[in-house]
Amino acid sequence: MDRRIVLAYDGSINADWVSRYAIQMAATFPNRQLLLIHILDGSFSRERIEGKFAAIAEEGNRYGIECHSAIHQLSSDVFSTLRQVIPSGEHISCLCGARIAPRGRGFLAGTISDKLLRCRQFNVMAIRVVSPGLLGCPRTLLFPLAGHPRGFQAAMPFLKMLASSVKRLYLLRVMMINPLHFRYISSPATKKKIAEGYEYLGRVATEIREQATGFDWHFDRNVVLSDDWAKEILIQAGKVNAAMILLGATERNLPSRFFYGNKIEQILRTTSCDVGIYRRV
Amino acid sequence: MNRQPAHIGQIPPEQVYAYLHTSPEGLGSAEVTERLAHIGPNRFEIVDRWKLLRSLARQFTNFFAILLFLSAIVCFIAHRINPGENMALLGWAVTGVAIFNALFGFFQEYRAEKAMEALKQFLPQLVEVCRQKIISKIAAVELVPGDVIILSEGDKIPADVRIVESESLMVNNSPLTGESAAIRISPQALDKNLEECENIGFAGCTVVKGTGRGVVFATGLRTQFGRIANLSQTIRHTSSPLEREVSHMVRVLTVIACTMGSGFFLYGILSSKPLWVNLVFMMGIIVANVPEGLLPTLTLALAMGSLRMAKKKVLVTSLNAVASLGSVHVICTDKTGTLTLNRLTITRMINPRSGEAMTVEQEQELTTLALSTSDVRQSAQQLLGDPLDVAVAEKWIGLGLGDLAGAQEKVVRSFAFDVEKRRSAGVFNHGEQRLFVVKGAFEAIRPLVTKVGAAGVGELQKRETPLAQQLMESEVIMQQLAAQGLRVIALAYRPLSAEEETAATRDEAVADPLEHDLILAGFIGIEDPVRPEVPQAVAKCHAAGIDVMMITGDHPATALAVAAKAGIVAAGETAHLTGDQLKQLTVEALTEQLQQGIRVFARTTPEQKMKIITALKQLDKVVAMTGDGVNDAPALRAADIGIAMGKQGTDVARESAQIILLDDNFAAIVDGIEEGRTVFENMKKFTSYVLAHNVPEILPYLLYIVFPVPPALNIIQILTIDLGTDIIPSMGLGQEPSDPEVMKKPPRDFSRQLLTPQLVVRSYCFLGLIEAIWSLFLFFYVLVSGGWQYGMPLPASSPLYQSATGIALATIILMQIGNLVGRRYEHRSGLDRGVFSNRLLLAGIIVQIAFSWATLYFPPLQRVLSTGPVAPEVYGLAWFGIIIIFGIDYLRKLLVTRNNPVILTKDE
Repeated sequence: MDRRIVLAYDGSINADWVSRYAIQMAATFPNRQLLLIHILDGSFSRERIEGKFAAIAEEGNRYGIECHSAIHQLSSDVFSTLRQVIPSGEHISCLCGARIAPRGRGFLAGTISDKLLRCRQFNVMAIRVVSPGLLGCPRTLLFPLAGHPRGFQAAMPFLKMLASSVKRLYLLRVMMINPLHFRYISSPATKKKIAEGYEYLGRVATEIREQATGFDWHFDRNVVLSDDWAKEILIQAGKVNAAMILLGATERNLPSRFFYGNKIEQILRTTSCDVGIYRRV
Repeated sequence: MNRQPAHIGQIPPEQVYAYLHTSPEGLGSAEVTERLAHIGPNRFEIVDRWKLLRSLARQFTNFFAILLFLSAIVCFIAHRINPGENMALLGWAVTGVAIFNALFGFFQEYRAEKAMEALKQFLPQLVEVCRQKIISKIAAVELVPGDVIILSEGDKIPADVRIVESESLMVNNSPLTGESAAIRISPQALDKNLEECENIGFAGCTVVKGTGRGVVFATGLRTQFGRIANLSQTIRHTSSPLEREVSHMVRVLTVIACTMGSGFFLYGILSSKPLWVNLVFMMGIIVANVPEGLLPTLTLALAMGSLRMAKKKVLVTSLNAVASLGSVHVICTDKTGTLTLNRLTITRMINPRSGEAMTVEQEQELTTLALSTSDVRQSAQQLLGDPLDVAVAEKWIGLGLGDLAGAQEKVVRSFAFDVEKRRSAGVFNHGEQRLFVVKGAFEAIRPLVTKVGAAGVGELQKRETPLAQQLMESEVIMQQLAAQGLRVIALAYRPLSAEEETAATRDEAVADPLEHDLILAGFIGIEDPVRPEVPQAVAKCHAAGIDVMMITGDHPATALAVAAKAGIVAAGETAHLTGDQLKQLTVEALTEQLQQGIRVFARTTPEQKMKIITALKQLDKVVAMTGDGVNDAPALRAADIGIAMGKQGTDVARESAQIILLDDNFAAIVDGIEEGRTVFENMKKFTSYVLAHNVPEILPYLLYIVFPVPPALNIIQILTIDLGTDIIPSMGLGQEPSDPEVMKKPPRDFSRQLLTPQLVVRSYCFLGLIEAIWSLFLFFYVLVSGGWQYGMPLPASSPLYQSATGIALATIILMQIGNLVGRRYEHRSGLDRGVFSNRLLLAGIIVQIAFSWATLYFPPLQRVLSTGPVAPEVYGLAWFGIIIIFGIDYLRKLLVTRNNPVILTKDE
C-alpha cells in the first residue's frame, strides 16, 4: 500500500507553515503525494480554505509534489470527522499543527492534535513552527530519546520523513535524577549513569545506520544528567543550534501531570526552534 | 522540478512575501494578532515570576539550613518547657546564622540576572514597520514573523529579517560574529547557510550605513541573537567543586549530628531520663556537632581571597570562583589581547621576488608607500586609527623618515579599506611622480598585478620569467611568511598618467578605474607580539598540571606560531583543529583528539567553544574559558569558570563571567589559579582546626547522658567557641600566604574532598580527643577539689559547677591555640613560619588568651556564660594544654615524616 502524507489543515498560520513540512516529507515518499484535509467548523470559509489549498498545491507542484485536497463538512466534531476521513494504517502519516489554544491554554493538551496523537489509527506528527524562515527544512535535528527498550522503532518512520533535509542529527539521552538527589549525586554515580546513556545511544545509532541507509548525516550524541528533562532538552537544542526537536508523545497520567506539570507543553511553549511531537500507530 | 530551498535566504526577494505569508503592504491586524498569540512577543527573556522566590526557597532548604532551623525550633520548645535556661536566646542565634547563610547564597544567584539586562541593550525599543500600507513606529516587542520593517542608518535590528530592498545597506554583525568590520547586505538570493547569508539582517546587529526593507522571519528567542540570550540565561551553572565539597561536608556532619542526637535521645527515653534532660542533651549534641562558624568563615576566606586576587587585576564576581579557579585542569584562552599584546608591529619587510629581507632604504620606500594608504590620526599621547595603519605609521616614525604630518600632506587622495575587496588605496606625491598605491591581502591584489618588483629597486622582473611564474614564486614567499605566524600584507603601486592624476583627485573619484597594471612592491610581515610574561605563565601552568589551549579565529599558521612562542605547543608542532574540522567531529571524536594532545583551535567561531567545553567536561576536567564577545556569553556560562576581558570585553561577556581580567592578561589567570589553590589549602587547614573542638564539645554530653555527671559545657558556651573565639583564628589560617610548592602540584583530584577521612580522623580522634581529655580532666579536677562526688547532682547556678565549666571552656579555648599553630603546616611544626608573619593569626591568639581569662575572671562575661573563677594554678594547667596538644601533634608529624621523608620536602 502506498505510503502517504495527510495534512490535517486547520487554516491557521501555523498550519500554513506546517504545510511546508508536509511538502518536504511528501518528497521522501516514492509517489510524492500529499493529501490536504480540512473540516469546515465555521472558523474559516470554504473559499478561504480553497484559496490556501491552491497556494499550497502550487508550491507543492513547483517541487514535484502532487497535492490532493478535500474539504469536509463537520459531522459531530472535528476530531471524529477527521478520524472518519483519514484512512487508517501505518502507511498513513498524518501531520497536524500544535498551535496555541484559545485563551493561552497550551499548544497540545486537550487539542485535536492531542486526540489525533492518542487515537493510534495512523502515524501522527504534531508540529509547532516558530521559525517559518526555515521553510520546513530542518538541517539540524535534535532527537531526545527516553530510553525505550524497543530502541528507535517508534521514531524511525518520522526520521525517514525528515531525512532528506537533515544534515546533522543529534541524539540526546537525558538521564533523570530525582531533584533531591541531583544536587548531591556523587562523581562515580554520575559516570555510571552517563555510561548507561551512551551505551543506549550507541545501540540506537547502530539501529539508525542499519535501517536508514543512504543518508549522509553527521551523527552526534550526548548524554546529560538532569532533574528536569524538558529544560535540558531546550538547553541542548540551543547548544547544538537545532532547527527542530523531535519528541515522542508521552503517556503521563493525570496525577503525574499535576505534580510534575506537562513537560511537552513546557517545551512547546518555550522552544527556540520548531518542535515535532510524534506517535507511531 | 525545482530544488527545494533550505531557508528564506535562498528565496528570490520577490517571492519572500509569499513564503512568509505576508505582502509588500504588510500584515493586517488580525494576522498580527494571530501570529502574536502563536509565536509570542519579540523578546528573549523567559518570564518566570517565581524564579527569585524559588531561588530564595532553595537557599532555605539545603541540608545545613534545615538542620539549623530544626535546632532553633528545638531551642524554642526547650525554652517553652524550661524558660530559666535562656534557650530562646540560643534559638535566635542559630536562626540568625541560618538566615545569614541563606541570604548570602540568594544574593549570589540574584546577580546572575544582570547578564540579561546587558543583552537587552542590543534590541531597540521602537521599530518602523509597514502594516496595511501604513508605516508607523511600534514597540519592537510587538513584531511578528511576516512583518515588513524599514531599516535606516543607526538602527538596531529588532528581529531576524530577510532583506528584500536595500540601498548601500551595511550592517555591523559584531554581536553575533565578533567581527567589527561591517558587511554589505543586498536582497539577492544566496546559496549559503542561513548564518552566512548576506541578505539577512540579524537581531541585535546595527545598521551602519544605508537603508533597507526587510521581512521578519524569526522573533524573540528564535532569532540567532535570541538563542545566545536564551542559552545565557538557561544554561545551568554546574555546582562548583567547592560547592560540591562543602555540600558533602555538610551532609556528613549533618548525618553525624542527627544520628548521635536522635540515637542518644532514644537512649535517654528508654533509660527513663526526664524529657527536659533528653532535650538538652539532643540540642547539645546537635549544636556541638554542627560547626556553626565554618560556613561564614569559608565565605570570609573566599572574600579575602577575592580581595587579594583583585590586587592582581583579577576581579571575582562570584566567591565560589575563587576556589574553583584553584581546581582548574584546563584553561581555554583567546589569542588576541590575552596571550598577545593586541598591538600590531611590523617585524618583517620582504622583497617579493627574492624573498630576502629588504635593506633600510627599501624599507623606507615600502613604508612610505604603505603610509599613503593608511588613515592615522595623531593625538597628544598616541596614534589613533586601524591597528594595521597605526603599525605602519609607527614603523615610518621608527625609520626616522621625519614628520608624520608632513608625509600625510603628500597624500592627495585616500580610498578607505573596502571589506569586499579586502584592500585600501591612496594617491600620493612621490618626488616628481604621483603614485597610486594599493595595500591589502595578497590574494586581493594579485589579479591587479602585472609586474613584480621591489620598492626602491629600479629593475623589474626579468623579461624571460613569465608573470604567472613570478607571482607563483611571490605567493610561496608570502606563504613562508604566514607560516611564521605573521599576518602578511602586500603593497603594489603604479605611476599615474596626467589624466588619471586629475581624475583621481576629484571628490567623486573611486579606486576601481585605477586598479590595474600594478607593480608588486613588497610584503610586510605584521605580528601581534606575545606578552612577555605569557611564556613563563604557561610554563607555570604546565608545572601545575594545567593544560592551556588556544582557541582563535585566526589562520592556523598564525595560531600555531603564537602557541609555540607562548609555550602552549612545542616549536614546529603542527597538530591543530580548524573550525571546519571541529564542525565535522562528534563530541566523542573531539574528546579523543583532546586526549591525543590537540591544544590549538584555529579559524573557530565562538559557538564552537561550547563544543570544546562539552568534550572537556566529558573528560572530567574543570574548565576555565575566556571570552569577550556577546556570542561568548553561553560558553562563559557553560564553563566551570567563565573569564571575561575587562578592557576588550562586552558588558554581556562580563556579566556572564565569574572572573574579569582587568588587564586582559593571561598571566593574571595563572596568578588567580595560584591564589585559588592557596585559598583551598587554607580552607583545609581551618576546617581541620574547627572540627577539632567538636569532640570536647560532644564528649561532655555523651558522659552526661550515660553517667550521672553534669555536662562540662552548656550550649551557650559551645556557641561561644563556634561563633566567637574560633572565628578570628580561622580567618587567620585563611590568610596564610601561598606555599611556593602550590603551583608544582597537579590539580586536586575530585575524589579528594575537603572533608577527607584522614582529616576527620585526625580532627576528631586525635586532636579533638586530646582537647577533650585535658579539658574534662580539669573539669572533674575542679569539681572533685570542690567536694563533688560521683553521682551528686549539681544545679546550673552552683558556684562549683560554674567554676568547673569555666575551666573546661577556658582550657578548650587555650588548647585551640596549640591546634592553630600546628595547622599551619601539614607536616612541619608551624612555628617555623613565625607567628608574627600573619597578623590576623596573632590577633586570633590574643583574642583566645583574653577570652580564656575573661571567662574565668571577668564578672560580666561570667554572668553571660554562667562560669566562675578557679585558682590561678588551675588556670596555669589550662595553659599547659597548649603545650600538650602542640607537642603531641608535632610528635605525630615527626613520626609521619620519618616514615615518609618525601612528604616534608613537599611542605617546604
